[in-house]
Amino acid sequence: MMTTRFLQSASLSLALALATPAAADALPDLKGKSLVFAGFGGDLQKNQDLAWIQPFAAATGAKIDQTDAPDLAKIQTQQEAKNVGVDVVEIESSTVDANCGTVFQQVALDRSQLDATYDTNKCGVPVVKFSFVLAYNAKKYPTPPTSVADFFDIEKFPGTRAARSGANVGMVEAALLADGVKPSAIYPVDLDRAVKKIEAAKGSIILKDTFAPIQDGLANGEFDMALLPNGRAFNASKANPDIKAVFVGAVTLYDNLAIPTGAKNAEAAKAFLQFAATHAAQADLAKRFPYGVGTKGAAPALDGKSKGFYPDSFTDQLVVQDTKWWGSNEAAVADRLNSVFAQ
Amino acid sequence: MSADTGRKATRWALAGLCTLIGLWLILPLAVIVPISFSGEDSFAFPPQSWTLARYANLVTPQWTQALLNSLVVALLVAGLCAVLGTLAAFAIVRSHSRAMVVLRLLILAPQVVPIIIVGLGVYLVFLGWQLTGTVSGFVIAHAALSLPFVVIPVAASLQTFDRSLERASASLGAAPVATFFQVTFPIIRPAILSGTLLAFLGSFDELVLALFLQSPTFVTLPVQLYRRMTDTIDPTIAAVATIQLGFVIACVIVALVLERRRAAGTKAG
Amino acid sequence: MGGQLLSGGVMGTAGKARLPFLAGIDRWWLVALPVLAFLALFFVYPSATILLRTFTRFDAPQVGGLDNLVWFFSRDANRAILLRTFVVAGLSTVLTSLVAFPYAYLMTQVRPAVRTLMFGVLLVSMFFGILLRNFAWVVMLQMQGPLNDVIAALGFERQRFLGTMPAVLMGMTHVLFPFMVLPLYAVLRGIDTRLVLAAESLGARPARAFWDIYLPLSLPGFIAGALLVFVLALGFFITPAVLGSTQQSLLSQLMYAQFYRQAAFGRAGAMALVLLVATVAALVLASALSKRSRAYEATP
Repeated sequence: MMTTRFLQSASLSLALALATPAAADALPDLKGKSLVFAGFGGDLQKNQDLAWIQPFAAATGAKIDQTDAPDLAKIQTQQEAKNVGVDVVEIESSTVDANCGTVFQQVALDRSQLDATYDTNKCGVPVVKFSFVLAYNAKKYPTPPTSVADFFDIEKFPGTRAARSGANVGMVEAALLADGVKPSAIYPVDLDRAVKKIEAAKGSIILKDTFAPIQDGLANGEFDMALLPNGRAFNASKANPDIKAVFVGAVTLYDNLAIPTGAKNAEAAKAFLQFAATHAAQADLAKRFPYGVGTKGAAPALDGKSKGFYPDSFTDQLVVQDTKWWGSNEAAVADRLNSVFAQ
Repeated sequence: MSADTGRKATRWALAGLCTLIGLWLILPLAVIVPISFSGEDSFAFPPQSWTLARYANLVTPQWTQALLNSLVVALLVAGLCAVLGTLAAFAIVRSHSRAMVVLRLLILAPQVVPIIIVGLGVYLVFLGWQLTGTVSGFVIAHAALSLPFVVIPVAASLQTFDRSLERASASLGAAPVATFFQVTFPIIRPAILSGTLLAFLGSFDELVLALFLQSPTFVTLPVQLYRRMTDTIDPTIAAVATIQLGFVIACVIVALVLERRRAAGTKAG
Repeated sequence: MGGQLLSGGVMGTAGKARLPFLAGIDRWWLVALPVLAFLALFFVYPSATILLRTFTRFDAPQVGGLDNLVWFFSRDANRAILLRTFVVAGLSTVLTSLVAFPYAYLMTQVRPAVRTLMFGVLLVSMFFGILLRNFAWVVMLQMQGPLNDVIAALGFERQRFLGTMPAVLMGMTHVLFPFMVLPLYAVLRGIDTRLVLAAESLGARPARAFWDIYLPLSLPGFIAGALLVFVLALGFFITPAVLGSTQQSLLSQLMYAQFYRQAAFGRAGAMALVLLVATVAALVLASALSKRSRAYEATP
């Protein structure tokens, strides 16, 4: 405990020393102001706390409260009741693309450091590039799976596999790959074809509503393989060195930080977005946890272990998600998959 | 003779079966204890490495604040239920109005209406009333659920209560309020107390409404535990569980010892 | 506690033929008012709000009228989940009865000290908290958990329990156990076991005497407990989410998903309505049953 505390504060001061010169003049004085950040939880949010939230709070004087599970529908419900409880949410970029100007407010930011490939809307700041990898237990599979498509090969790779419930979790893309679709031809998704493949393997698949039990279940032998964000797979490998990840065919996407319309602390939230739109801030997070950046500039150097779980180490193997397609089809896919797995 | 051996065998079988049931009730709770010393961020059993860090974690604000919130809410719920529940019990037992059927149904309804329905409705309504994430919002929602815990025992106690005591007090010139506090209240006090205790526990353990009513700045202990189970794997929850287990066992032992003493006392007297 | 809660026995005879506190005016109405207002405002109004959304809120492709209810019943997945909710509630009621009956029966038969111990075990499990008990079962049932260690030590292959129906039922039975055992014990305690002995002395075999005399007398406790357990099980939400997987989801979880993941309040309202109607139907049915069993008791 003492050592972790010490390490945390040491790395915090280091982060401050590194981050402050670049971003400090841009950061306003927010003493007495507060904002609520909703992230995806887990180790990602723990590291976001170290890389973004604590330095930002220290530099501006703002008080930041954190929560998790930022569902779009929850935000809409709060907007309907005119009582929005979050100021900055982390959510898939496709969701922000599709709801920019309605659910999320447009913000005027200095976007010069952002990578134009990822900077696709006027509301969000692209962050946290990640891949849905196939994570597996090497002890269980002496001949390891070679592609995300092997998630659906229950003959060659028998065993229980886990994935998250919901729509945009890497499953439909993997099903199409398994059915012989070329990576370049996945979008627009042929949903019927994907569902047929999923139905065939359904008996070996366990769905959970959140990633944490999947990560832990993979690490302690509950599941033999799983579709996980690469960071969750990395964590599972820390708990159990037999856990490996396959990036071939892994759907790769990224999140946005965005401000919901009606947020109570929009001013502080905007300053936070500006802070996160700098390469220094994003690289600091990528150094701590193997998720990619949404900014221009060199990806940070990683040590051997996390390198094996970092999307940028496998750029030529990934399937880049068509965020436009997902933006307009997510609800339909969710509905379809729900009913496939309900029976 | 053979019927007797048969009876004996049945008794032993029954005793064995009930021992198994008792173990089934308790043993799963005990397996949590080693997890609370786990050095990994995992619920794997048994842990590979050991640490006391999970217990040190408990004194960080996110846990102490959640505990404090839960205690404050549960105490206020207990108080509110004690007052409202006793009033309701009086009305139900003493009123002649047929409309009391409505009150009776209303009080029991929150116990049988599926909690998710109440939760969704409360969320929609309380959001608009700015009550989500507030102490008052939690207290109000939990109190509606916990009212029967007080009303049922107090109504039962009032029904066996000898009204002539009150009339005697009144005929001796005591004001109704004085009669209540000097005659009626002492008799129904045990019922109120036990009901209030259950209301406290009901609120302290309540999760579903709390999941809807929580906000980033106001979280209760069950919500914190649930998040640490579903969004982040954190053996700190096992540390909470271990402490809670010790506390519950201590309370139950004290309560049962007191109860047996009391029973023995009444027998002797 | 539970039995009284539902049968309304304690309150059922309320307010009959007592001297009025003040002749003429029934002032107890005034006493009831704050409670009535409280519940109307903070329980009835919110619950009605979500139920009414069935008929007032529509998300494409639903547009109006009874669309949300039509949507509910026309989708295979919803019907499957509704059926599963009933089956799971029924199974957990049966399982809970099977564990609770011997326990409650033995409590009436043993020395006070043993009874206190049995009560203690029950209370500790009950007050430990529902969520933490679910967590305990996650640890217990996992692939490398204690139960599987025993299974492996006996020479069998490890079994996967988490994410399956047996795990959900195990957790639910554990959580629901006190709600069955308490009303059952309250009734069993009052049964005069001399009746069974009398039957035996008249030549009935013990098993037969137990079956013909004791069980019918225990029926009211059974019905009260079973009803409470069934109704609670219909609304279960946390346990299936923690111990099961999406494939075992019950109506409450589906409702939560429609509400939170899709903000489809109309569809969530329709599910709430179906679940509530099912619950009320179960209550009505059981109260009819318990009336019949009481009539049976009254027959000489």
